[in-house]
Amino acid sequence: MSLVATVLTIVHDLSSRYCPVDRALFVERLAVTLAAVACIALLLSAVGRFKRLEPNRKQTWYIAACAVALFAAGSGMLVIFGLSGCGGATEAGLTWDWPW
Amino acid sequence: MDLISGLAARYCIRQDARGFIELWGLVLVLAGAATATRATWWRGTLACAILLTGALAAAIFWACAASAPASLGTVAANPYGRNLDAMICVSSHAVETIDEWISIVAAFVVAIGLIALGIFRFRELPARGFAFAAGAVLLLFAAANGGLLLVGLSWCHSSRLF
Repeated sequence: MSLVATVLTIVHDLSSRYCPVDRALFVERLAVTLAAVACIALLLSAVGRFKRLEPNRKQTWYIAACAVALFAAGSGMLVIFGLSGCGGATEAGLTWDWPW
Repeated sequence: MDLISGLAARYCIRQDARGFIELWGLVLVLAGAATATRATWWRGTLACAILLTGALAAAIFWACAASAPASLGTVAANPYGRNLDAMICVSSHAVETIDEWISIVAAFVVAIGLIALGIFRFRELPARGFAFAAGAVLLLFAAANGGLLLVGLSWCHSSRLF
């Protein structure tokens, strides 16, 4: 096999393995999951804001809210970065179904 | 970043997405705990765990991204020689390695916390004894898991058994 053909095969493998079968459905599931996690972060910060607590306790709630929000943002970026490498057909047996 | 390197990086993120997301969660939990505490020694312990977790993530990602093209066929362009086997070993069972690492870090952190509680907080003998015993069991669990992790990697790295 010539070098060009080998490179093309590898490019094809790298851009088709572990890709979602239905990209729109995948992105939809991702958005719903991230929105749910963002809601949890909002809820945690609301508890910290409105509940009568000692300053230390309030800080703990804010830290938890911040961690959950960062988790959603980081995971979303990671998934979108991975997804951006998909192009063309998916490879049977090596597909990516959100969330795992 | 050339085309193949860029695609390999994205391929590795997709392949081990679950593991990387779990590691990100672990880093945030540890960072949150470090921010919430006031004890300097405890912050230092958590910071060490965060650094080691980051190093593990970086090592797995680098091993996968660097070895992906060669493991998929461009063996002639393999610049890593015998180390390629080791790199494939690190990246091929990444999610299992990450899960094992998370159990090690969790057990270690809880064990240190229990031992600290036993020393500084609990005054009564039964509570103190329980904290020390549970801490010791968790430390043993972490050490055993660490050993298993190293044995698994060594087993895979061995060219005789690979």
